[in-house]
Amino acid sequence: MLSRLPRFGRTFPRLLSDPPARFVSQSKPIGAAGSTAVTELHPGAEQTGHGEVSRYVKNPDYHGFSSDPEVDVWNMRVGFFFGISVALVIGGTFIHYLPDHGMRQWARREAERVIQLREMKNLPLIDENYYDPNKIVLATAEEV
Amino acid sequence: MNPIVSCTLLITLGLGTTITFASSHWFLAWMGLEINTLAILPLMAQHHHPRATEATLKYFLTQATAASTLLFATTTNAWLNGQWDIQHMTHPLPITLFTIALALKIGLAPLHIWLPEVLQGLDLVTGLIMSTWQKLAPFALLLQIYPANSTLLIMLGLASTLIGGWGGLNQTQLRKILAYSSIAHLGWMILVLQFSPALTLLTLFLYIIMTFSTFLVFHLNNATNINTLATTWTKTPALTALTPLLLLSLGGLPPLSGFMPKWLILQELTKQDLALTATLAALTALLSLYFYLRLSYALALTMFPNNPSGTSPWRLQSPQIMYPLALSITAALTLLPLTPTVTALMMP
Amino acid sequence: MLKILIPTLMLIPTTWLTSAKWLWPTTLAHSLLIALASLSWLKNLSETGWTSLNLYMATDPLSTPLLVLTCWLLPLMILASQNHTTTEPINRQRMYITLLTSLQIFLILAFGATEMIMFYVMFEATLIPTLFLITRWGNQAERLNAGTYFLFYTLAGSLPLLVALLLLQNSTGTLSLLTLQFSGPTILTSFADKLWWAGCLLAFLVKMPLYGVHLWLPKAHVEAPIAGSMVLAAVLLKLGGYGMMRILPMLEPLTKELSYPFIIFALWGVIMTGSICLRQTDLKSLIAYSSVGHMGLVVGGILIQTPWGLTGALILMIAHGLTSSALFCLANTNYERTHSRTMALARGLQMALPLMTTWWFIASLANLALPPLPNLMAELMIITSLFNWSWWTLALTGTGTLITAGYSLYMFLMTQRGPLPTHIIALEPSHSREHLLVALHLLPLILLILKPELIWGWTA
Repeated sequence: MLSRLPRFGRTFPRLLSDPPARFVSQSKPIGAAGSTAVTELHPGAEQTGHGEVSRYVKNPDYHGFSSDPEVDVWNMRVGFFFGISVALVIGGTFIHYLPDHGMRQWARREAERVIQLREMKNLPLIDENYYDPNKIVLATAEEV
Repeated sequence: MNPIVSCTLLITLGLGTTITFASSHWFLAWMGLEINTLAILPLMAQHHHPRATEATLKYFLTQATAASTLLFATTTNAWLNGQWDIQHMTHPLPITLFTIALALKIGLAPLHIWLPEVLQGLDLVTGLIMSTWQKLAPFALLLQIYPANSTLLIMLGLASTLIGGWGGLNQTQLRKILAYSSIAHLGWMILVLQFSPALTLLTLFLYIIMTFSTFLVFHLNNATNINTLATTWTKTPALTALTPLLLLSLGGLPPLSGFMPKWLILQELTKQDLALTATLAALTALLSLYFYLRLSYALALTMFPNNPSGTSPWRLQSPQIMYPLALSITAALTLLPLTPTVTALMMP
Repeated sequence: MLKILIPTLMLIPTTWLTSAKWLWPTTLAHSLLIALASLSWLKNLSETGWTSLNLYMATDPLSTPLLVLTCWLLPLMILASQNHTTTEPINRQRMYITLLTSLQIFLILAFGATEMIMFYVMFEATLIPTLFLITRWGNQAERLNAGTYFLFYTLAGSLPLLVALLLLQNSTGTLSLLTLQFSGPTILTSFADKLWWAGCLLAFLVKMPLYGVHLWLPKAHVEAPIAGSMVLAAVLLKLGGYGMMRILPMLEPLTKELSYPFIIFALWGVIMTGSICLRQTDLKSLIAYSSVGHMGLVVGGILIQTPWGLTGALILMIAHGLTSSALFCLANTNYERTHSRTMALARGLQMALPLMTTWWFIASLANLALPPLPNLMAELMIITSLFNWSWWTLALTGTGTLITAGYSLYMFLMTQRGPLPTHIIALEPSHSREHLLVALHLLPLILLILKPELIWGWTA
């Protein structure tokens, strides 16, 4: 078991010192021999540059996502499905059917019902002593 | 240098510090400091280079001055109190003398002028020893004597944070920048020394972890000035991505570890009704942050034009021993969430 | 809380483990699902307003809208950055998405925190990803200057805040937001107390930014890549407003007198930045200055401390977040085609990109607060409450509104109407991606007016 440790000893520092590829291609490849090796490492890095070759030439149905037509169309679908259909529509429905904020509308409806009831019975809208005066503790004259 | 010789010197270096740690008698503590100084001198001068020799000489002179002041303070103390115990200091005169002597020894402003000059003359490994291990013995003594002269300590602390930030602003040499960074950090430690010695120790540990990582990173890249930093990404790209974070951690930006000591020290200072001091110290930290930020810009946040063949050195590099660096960088970046645990450990 | 935080954290492994081909669709779908899940925070039934409570975090009607805005913005940033990063190597694209994600994590932690120090730490933590976003991914050499300005303005304001918070903690014993508003009124009379009051607010006023300490914002906006501009305008500025709303109840007796100069600065700033916009040639800079103007209204609304003022401020923060982010996206679509931010060089784009003009039109109208958009509701509430506080403010707010309308019109006419300059040839037509991007900004804005109680905050 312990004999394995030195092997990690060699790989682990490599993990630190071996770079991810993003540090490689700094400058624009000038077409020198060194740069071909660099671009081979990065199939993902598309060299569109500022040459302004319209991507519509290669792909007339370009949606602005990727130069690969398949990824482009799927990325578009994913964006519209999750953005519009899921987030906005389902999210909007969820928000529409939310219980009202802090139950305030419910409280207002209840209050209106009570008022109608009391008006029918010809009671005053609110009791003079709505809160029991015995339960209200006021500061005495000395304390104030 | 002959490995046996350098090994002996390193062991003696450790021995000196250990003697100072273990001593309760002032004379022995002084002896430990002297052994420590004498052991590092040959290490400093191992490269036969005028700058190294000059640095060694400067270091020797300042340390000798500090040590003799210390010896003078001990004899004064023995004369006034009739004993040599480190723990039982009562008279303010020797305590103040000790504080000043130790401030010279670790390089606190306004007694700091030797530090950048000396550090500039050393190679990065000796510089690492100089700015980490060499601080331990004086701090062991400072923590034991409970210096009580609060004006002196606060003045030393504020002056160090200010000068440490200010001095580093127009430097282009990494070792000088690190020296000023060291001065600023020591200022923070001295600021809180009289209120919470455990916090000083915590700050010292975190400072050592961060400085250790920084020196190792620079050593790995053979970088001694800002311009060479610009091409480090061709050598160790992943490390280059982490180093700005490390530098900002030295600068004390949350959520990195470097924020923890600053936060706790500010808290302690406000608890002691020193809000103005706390604000001043916090604002001087901005000065230091400026040169850390400049290093980060040069290191990773700008990409310099390079010839295509310049991008390949990382593929030619032999794997180096990086465990200590991996550990210390991790600690230097991610300790902040552990603050409650760390404070519980350090300040029971 | 964790049901959002953990998926957001897991977005980072998603970014690094997905194959290069499907990187952008996967992260987009993932972040949109997080945004959908974050809507559940809007369900708030509790009496006190605090829901989703756990040991360190909670949401209440004030933080919920900002949290949802934060979650909504990440997919939009991903969508917006997709085009200009295609020339980068794949691992750098991954790093970019990771930075954006980490920014969202810190923002959620900041808005969700129930403790002032936690809020402070996270407030500061957002600086690092934003700094890297500006200085690493910006386009021009001036970005380093902009990054330095950004970092040092914010930090110089917020380090006194840390000391002020620690002082507050010493006197009250806690900094929990749940209980802080119940702590008794403190007696603040000395000069030091007044400095403490300023220390508590300064960080947030710099972050807002208040006119006078706003210089970092246009620089940062102009130099940042599109995602940086979006998140800066939409969420990071709102950290300042949110922090002010949280801390003001604790500064109560002093605010009444001490806030005068700040309100004056804020309202004067509305007029000044509006005037700057009127003679602005740089499109991104114009939008940035218009942000400063709108934030001036927010500062005024918050500082007078009335329920209507606070409500208006919160609504304006949300509405402005969506509007200015949309404007930055639109500016970026121009920039990606003409490679210039100068408005005089990209005129008359209605000829070339007719559908984009619709989006420009709606976004400009939102910016000048046209009914029925929530922007108008917010400005009316703020102007009304300021008018109630002092009649004289109407001179400033009224002129400010007029100038806002003026420069919004100027921006729209300048970029869209008129003949197409002859040097603009062979523009790419607008992409589906860009339409989706702007639609996802403006549709929620329009829908919000149907249910404004979501962003009302504490009131009503």
